[in-house]
Amino acid sequence: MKLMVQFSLNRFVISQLALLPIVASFVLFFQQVGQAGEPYEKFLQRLRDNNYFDLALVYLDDVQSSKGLDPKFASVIDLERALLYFQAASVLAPKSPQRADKLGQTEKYLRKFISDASQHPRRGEARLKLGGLLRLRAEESIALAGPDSAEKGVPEAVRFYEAAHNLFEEAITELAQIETSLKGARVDPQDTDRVAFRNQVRLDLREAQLYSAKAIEDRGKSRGKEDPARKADLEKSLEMYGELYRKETSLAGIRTFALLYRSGVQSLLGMKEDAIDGYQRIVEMENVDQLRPLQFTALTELVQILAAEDKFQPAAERAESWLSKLRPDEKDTVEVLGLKLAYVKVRLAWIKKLEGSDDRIASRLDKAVRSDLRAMIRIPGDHIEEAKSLLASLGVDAAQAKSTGELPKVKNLTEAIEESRKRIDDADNDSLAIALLDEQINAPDTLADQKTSLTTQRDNQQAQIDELRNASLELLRIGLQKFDSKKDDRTQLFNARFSMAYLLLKLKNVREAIVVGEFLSRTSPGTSQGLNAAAIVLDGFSNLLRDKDADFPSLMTELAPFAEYLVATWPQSREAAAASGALTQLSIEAQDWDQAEKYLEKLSSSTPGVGRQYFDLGVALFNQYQKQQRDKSDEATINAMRERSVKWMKLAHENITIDDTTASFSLVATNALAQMKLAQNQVAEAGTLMFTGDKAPMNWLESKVDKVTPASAMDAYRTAMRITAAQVVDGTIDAKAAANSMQNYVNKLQELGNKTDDGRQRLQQIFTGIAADLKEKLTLVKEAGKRAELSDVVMIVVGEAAKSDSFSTQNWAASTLVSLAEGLESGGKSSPASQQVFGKAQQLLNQINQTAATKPGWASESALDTLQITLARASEGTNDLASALKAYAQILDKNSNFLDVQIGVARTLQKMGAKDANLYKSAINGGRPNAKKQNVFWGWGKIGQEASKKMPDFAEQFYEARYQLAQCRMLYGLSLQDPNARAKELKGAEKVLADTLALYPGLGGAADIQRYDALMRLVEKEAGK
Amino acid sequence: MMIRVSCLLMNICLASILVSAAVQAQDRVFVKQGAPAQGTISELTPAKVVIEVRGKPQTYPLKEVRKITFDKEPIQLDRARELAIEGKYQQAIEELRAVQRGSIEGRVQQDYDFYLSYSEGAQSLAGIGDPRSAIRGLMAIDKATPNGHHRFEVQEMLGRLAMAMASYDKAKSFFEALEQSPDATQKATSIYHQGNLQLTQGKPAEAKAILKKLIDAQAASPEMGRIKNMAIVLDARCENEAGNAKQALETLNAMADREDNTDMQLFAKINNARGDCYQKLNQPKRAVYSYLQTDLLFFTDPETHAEALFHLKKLLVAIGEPAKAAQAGERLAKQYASSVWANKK
Repeated sequence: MKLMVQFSLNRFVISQLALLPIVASFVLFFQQVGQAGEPYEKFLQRLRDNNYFDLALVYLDDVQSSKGLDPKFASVIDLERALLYFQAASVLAPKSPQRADKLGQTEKYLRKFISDASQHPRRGEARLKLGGLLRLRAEESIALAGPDSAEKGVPEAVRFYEAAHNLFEEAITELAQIETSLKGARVDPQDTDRVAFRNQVRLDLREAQLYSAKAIEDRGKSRGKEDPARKADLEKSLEMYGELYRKETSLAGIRTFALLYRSGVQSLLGMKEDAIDGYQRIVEMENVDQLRPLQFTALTELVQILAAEDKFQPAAERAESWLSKLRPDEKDTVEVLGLKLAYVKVRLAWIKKLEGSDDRIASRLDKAVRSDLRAMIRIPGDHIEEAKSLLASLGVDAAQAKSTGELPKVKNLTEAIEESRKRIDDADNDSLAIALLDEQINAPDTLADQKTSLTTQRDNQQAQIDELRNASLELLRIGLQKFDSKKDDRTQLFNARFSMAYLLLKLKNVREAIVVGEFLSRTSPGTSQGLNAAAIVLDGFSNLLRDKDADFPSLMTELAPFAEYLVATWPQSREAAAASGALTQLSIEAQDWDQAEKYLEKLSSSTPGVGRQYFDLGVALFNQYQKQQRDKSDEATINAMRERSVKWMKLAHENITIDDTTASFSLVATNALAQMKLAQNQVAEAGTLMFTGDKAPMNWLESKVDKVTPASAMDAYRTAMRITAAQVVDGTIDAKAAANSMQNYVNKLQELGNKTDDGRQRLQQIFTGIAADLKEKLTLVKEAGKRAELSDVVMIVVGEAAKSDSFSTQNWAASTLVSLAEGLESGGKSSPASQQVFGKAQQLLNQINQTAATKPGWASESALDTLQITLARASEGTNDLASALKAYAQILDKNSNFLDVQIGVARTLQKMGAKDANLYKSAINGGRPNAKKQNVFWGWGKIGQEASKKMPDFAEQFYEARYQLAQCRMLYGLSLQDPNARAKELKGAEKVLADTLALYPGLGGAADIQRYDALMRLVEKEAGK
Repeated sequence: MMIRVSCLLMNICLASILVSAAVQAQDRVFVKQGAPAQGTISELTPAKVVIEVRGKPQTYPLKEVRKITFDKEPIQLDRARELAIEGKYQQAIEELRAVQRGSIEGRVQQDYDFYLSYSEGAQSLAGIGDPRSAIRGLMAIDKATPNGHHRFEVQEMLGRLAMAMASYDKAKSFFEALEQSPDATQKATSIYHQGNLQLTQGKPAEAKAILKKLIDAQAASPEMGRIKNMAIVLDARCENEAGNAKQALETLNAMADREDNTDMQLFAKINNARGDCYQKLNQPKRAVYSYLQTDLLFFTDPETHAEALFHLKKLLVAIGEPAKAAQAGERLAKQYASSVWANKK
């Protein structure tokens, strides 16, 4: 207790004496306004004000060598450092090893400053601080020595006080000289800095005198009871205090302290009347707000002296009169708690005295004391141990007091709710720290031992929170027992029960929370209170469902009637939506679509969050629809499922407002809906969904792309591309606009593809799919100009697909280009458009060959063989016939049995015949003999023969070969000058045609018959028939 | 006698009302330096204002004009105007809400719309309120009066709002439009924002290239000097992002020693940038005290303050101060609820 008072007084002195530095820093602040540079001092002060002492030390180290540092500030860096170390030590527990280290640092830097700054104006202040530090160390020595040391004394403390006294005396000598030099007319009253300095010196001097006397008093008290020097020290200090009190008239704080300390020494020396007189004078001082803590201390001492003289009633009345008029900011101060403890002890002594004589008063006092002690235990501070021990002495177990005794005494339900609420708020506030600690624990860069330390912090914090919540719950239980239906408001009853449900939930007593919550909700239908209670029930169920061993079906069965009650009672509430959402989910999981629809139909479409539920059901139905498609279910079933999905998706789309939280599922819903519309060939509707209005993904996706998954964004762009292609075919947009849009989508897809690991693979799948789709669309366009335009669109997509690293995608792209080019050939004849596309294909194929050559294993040999066919076809399409032939030869040299390749060779040779008629003969008879003297190139003749062997499977090839054979013979014949030879070839051509027609009059169909007839007439005409 | 006195008083009051009304019944151009011009505004463009003073036209470039008031405008509008100029946007909005929009028309209504949407925009940048309402309002103004005298202020605010909503392409186009301003300060502001935009998108090299023209330019006025300083801070952030944290710190420390610390926003930016550098250097305590400078000394600019609180929320846990971290998080959530920083993970 004594130690506590001393600490508090020290603090008070420091705060009092800090007044001047505060004024100085204020002046400094205004000086700094408009000045260049970082406000080092001001920031340091702010760090200090906010208890960031260790950080302030780091900052001070960093800025020490800054060029912009004010020289005045630079000169006190060591002093500042010492003060920061001292403050950092002050907030640590007395036994903390860090505290000893910090105090050591404090002393080191104070001594350094005093030694280095011999002329510095703050030298006096530094001495005082050092003295204060020595006194603190002495006090800690006494504390460590324990209560038994009072008899024998604590020599170490005596030494510290001795050193402190000497230091103060040195300071007094130095400060007195300075004060003399600043007296009276020696300082110009207009020179404010000088005047302020003089005031500071005066204050420092008086403070040094006070502390010097205190060091002597404490030195005496640290000596053994029998030590004669003890009394001598106390008497000397009495003299010093007396002198200071008499001489000092202007500094009220110093004077009052001197009086307080003097009274204390007088009391020790048995001069009780003098002591009472001194304390009385302090207590009766008026209009001294800043000295109120001293008044509480004086009153505490006074009360104890009176009690020691058995004057219990006046002692208790005095304490009671001050404690009943406490100001709000005083209630938990050390001085007031000291007075409260003294008041408790006075009454305890009084009770003892009253025992047997007046039990009624004793009982009343006992009750009051217990109540006060319980309340005190709840307030943190050094007093707790003593308060607990006093409570235990009254026959109450301190541990029990902690759980129930700590609770304040509440008179009624309102008070219980109020006290409970305070603890709920505290617990909720503390929970914020838990969340942050969790974040830190789970951060990937947190080291293992950091995690351990953080986890311990977290556990401690959680224990504290749980304790608060338990106390809060207990208060509510007590309050509910006191509920009086005649006096109390029923709203309070609800509030108490609601808080109980909330606390039970937080304390993981989920089942109880659900029971209380449901009761409240059902007894307050239609009210906002009832709805709040419902939220607790739902939260409780949510907790139970999250359990890894949760029995889903039985929990959902339990929830169902309450959910139905919610939907019926608050159909537009979020809670109803949540409950029905849970049931819908359950039904969806059970694939009970009818039940899911039933739940959703009960909800109002304006219920917040209902859009999400529509979406969930729509997606589930959509997945089912796709499954039915894969399983090839009957068309009616598939269509019915699609329509159901469309219905809910459409509702979802209509109900969703696009924001950061809904963007993700809105995108999926709209996209799925658009896909289904496309599947039904409702291109315009699909287009509207994706392109028109605020909800259309193409109008908002770019700004919220980070709120959706890359995969869903890519799917949306794919759908947009498919719709665009369909719109070109429908003629609702022109191909140029479509090409622009496609290019834009391709760019977006490329950006998204780079965002995830599998993005590029997905990207190629999309391009491949789109290109196939587009190619199919191209076949539907008949008009040549439009076809060319649409082919531009296809080229964009295929071109992008070709950027893939994959052989198969590149190969696919090349093949697509070739077939696209073939589609652009007009009646089998090349056109500028077809040549351009063939050219691109050829370029890509050459590139593939080069890559394959440098990357073994990138492509299989058989795939590369096939590639050569495509390359030959592309080369052919660009009229690069020599390259085409070379490519074909590469394949046939390995295996001549590829009929399609042979056809390509014959066709190429036939085309080359236009420049060199002898090549018609090669086209007819083949060539390129191998080692066995067999022709690798078959020519149309052998192609026809080989195809005829496999009729009707190769009928198309057979009719083609025969037709081309006849044409080649005719063309060759026409190139000949010799009439006989010419006639022979024409006749041969006629025969080929006639024989074929005789054997197969129907040929491959009307088109074949028509072309055969046309050729026949031409041959006949050339033959002069 | 009594009657005569009260009549006299009434007349005096009436006269003062009439005088006041006569004075109010004019447009006014308040120049940054000098007496305001009173008369009838005949031309108002994004570059200049022409006011007929006693029949003679006087032309003022807008860069020299502090504010313009209009004949018959409600008094709340001018109060709101002043408040907005002082950065007290919430109070400005409250003043404007007291005016019935339907009761005003023409330029007065346009000016009303501007100050309302502009203030809402500024508030939402500070993390208070919905930016979409401001964007709608400003877009409507831009559409209705593309050649109004607030054109470039509208562009700047739209750019900042678009940036805050991560619509970077749109922000870019607004800032590019701002660069068309004849006012050198607005041009410089545009360049600053464009640099910031690049940095925000993780392109420090591109940002540096843009900022270079601003940093290399001579600052001809205090406003230009200020923007240049902001650009230097931004440039240091680019350096930091590019892996040169130490070099960036040297620049920032030199600035902190050199510049006027009454420029709260500049010092908040310097300190946040220093905090970023220390984070890159894995020095959490130094990062914390840098952000704390913003929090404890230079907290008047909401955007930088929210940024500092965001970092403090995370870093204070790392240096063993979870309770203070929680407080920082709570203040961030309470003071700047809808800011980018409060909603950032």
